[in-house]
Amino acid sequence: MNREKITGIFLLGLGLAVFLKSLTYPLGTLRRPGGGLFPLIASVLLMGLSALLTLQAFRGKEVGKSSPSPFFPEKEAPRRVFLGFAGLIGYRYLLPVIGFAPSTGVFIFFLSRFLGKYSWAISIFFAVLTAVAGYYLFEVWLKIPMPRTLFGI
Amino acid sequence: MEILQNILTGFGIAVTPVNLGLCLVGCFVGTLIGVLPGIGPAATIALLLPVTFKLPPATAIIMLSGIFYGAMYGGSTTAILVNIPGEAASAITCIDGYQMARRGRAGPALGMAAFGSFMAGTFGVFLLMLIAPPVAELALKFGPPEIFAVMVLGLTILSYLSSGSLIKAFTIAIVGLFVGMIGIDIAGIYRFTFGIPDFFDGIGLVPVLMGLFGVAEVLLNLEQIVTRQVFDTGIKGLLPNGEDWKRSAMPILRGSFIGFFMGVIPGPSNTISSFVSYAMEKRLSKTPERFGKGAIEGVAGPESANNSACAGNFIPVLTLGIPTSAVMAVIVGALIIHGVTPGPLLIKNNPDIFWGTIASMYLGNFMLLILNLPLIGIWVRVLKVPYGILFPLILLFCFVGAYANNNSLAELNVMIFFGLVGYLMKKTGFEPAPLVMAYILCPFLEEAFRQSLIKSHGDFSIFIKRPISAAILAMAAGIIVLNVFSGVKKRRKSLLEKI
Repeated sequence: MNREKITGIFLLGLGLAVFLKSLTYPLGTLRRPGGGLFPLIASVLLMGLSALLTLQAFRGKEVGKSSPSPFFPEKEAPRRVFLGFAGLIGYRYLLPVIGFAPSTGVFIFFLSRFLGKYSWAISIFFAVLTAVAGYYLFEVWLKIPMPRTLFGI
Repeated sequence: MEILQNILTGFGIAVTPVNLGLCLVGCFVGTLIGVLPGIGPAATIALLLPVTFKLPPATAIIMLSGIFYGAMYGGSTTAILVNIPGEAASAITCIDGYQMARRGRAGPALGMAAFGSFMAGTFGVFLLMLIAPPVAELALKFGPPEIFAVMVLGLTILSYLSSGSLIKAFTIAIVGLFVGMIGIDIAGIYRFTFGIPDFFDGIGLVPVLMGLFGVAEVLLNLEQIVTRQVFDTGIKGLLPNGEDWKRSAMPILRGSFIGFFMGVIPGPSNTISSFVSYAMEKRLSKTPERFGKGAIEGVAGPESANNSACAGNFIPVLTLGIPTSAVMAVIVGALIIHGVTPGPLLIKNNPDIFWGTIASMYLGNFMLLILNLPLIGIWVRVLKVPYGILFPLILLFCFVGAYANNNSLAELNVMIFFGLVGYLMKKTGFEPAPLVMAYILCPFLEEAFRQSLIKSHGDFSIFIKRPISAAILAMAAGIIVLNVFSGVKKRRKSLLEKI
């Protein structure tokens, strides 16, 4: 099962899901089109196109430029991408708990220590500096109302 | 002489200290984010949008557009000195710009990029000033079928021009339509919201952009940390010599035309027009073998095209109210927040905004020439910041930008989700541009479609019975037919490979 086949089948499934969901909205008449008509037409188009993509993939015809190259360029890549992604999720869920400046500090520290491969000291320094500068730039100067934390500050 | 009167009024607005100052701020910020890879003008404009809330609308638009065309200047610096595009639109400049830098000619390359950008930018604004008012008059005659047809044509051209397979481009554009359908529709029905209140108003543009372009790009770069080398040894004389000028004059002129007219087409026309300009210069050149080895034409043409395209981008917004790129979608949002309706009546009803912005663009291009030539040292220093420091900051900006849009944590989920989607798309050969454009155009497209049907009492032939819409749709169909039945696709592919 290669990438092209999986993508084609996934998009076909997406088209089908949207198709079924749009049937639950009022289709209206052509004289007075309802909210379901436009998504219905679009989903039929998507199913057609993705069926074509899937067919091409199964026939082994190469589509675009992606197939021959390996998914990850090197062995370390999946771990690094996963760490980056995990950092984002962590930041998202830490933000409403401990507030903007502290969570920013943790986030920046995590990225520079484990992905940027900087020493502990440099990472901590960079994290604190960014957290303080970010606080003044975004919360004080640009007045962006950050979420209230669990501690109510 | 009416136009002279108008532009003088415009300058009257643009030279007030506040407008002049904020135009400079816009140009400065634009150059900065242009130099920094990973932060685009759309995201920056969205982030700074709240700052403009208390300003008069003309001032806000003057500053925000400065960021846009300023980014095109900054992007070339990174392309020439580091061989990575600071902005997507400068990708093609890397080829010959970097080769010039390696041969000790970084100065003339930077100089020519800045002069070309200045001339093309000014030329583009000049055309914008001449063309927008009459086109707006014409657009007043457009009904829903014509507007629908224009958007279909735009999406078709965009899919045709994006690299990779046409089927994939169309497929991802339809996925973009689905994203645009989430939320309340024109008849008041909630669609695809899955009962989540944050989706009732639709998916926000800013988190989608930050995810697809910002986060996805960083995730991709994280796979391999490549150390960058800044070639700044040769920046001594920034002024190109006579030979350089002789070679670059025509590329700049051609780039200015190509850029402006491609700028009108929906999609990342800054990027596409720079590619087209490069391919054209290589083909027209008597010594095409010099390309790729530091030919100054390969810097002058594309850099001119992407600046001129900025001005072209404004045409559909100011005349039809349709955004043609992510940046323009944010600018349309800014106009609406300031109580101004973008569309054919904008020039008539808000002459201060239109003429003030046009005048400020002339001034802004001049400021950028100064910012980018004598002050090049600042940007070189910015470039020396290693990626290990840069990417956490890029992610931080994406995070705050997505959040600040609505002060909502749900937008962060959307951003992270689209970051992952964008990453997977790159891995499977799908371009993000058609998705974003279809998503932006979806509400306009659906409204025009439904109104057309209401107008024709359910008769689909309305789209082909009206001459203008029929002609536009025929053009779109022609592109698809050509693509399927002839060798155009192959030729286009080989053209891209040649580059």
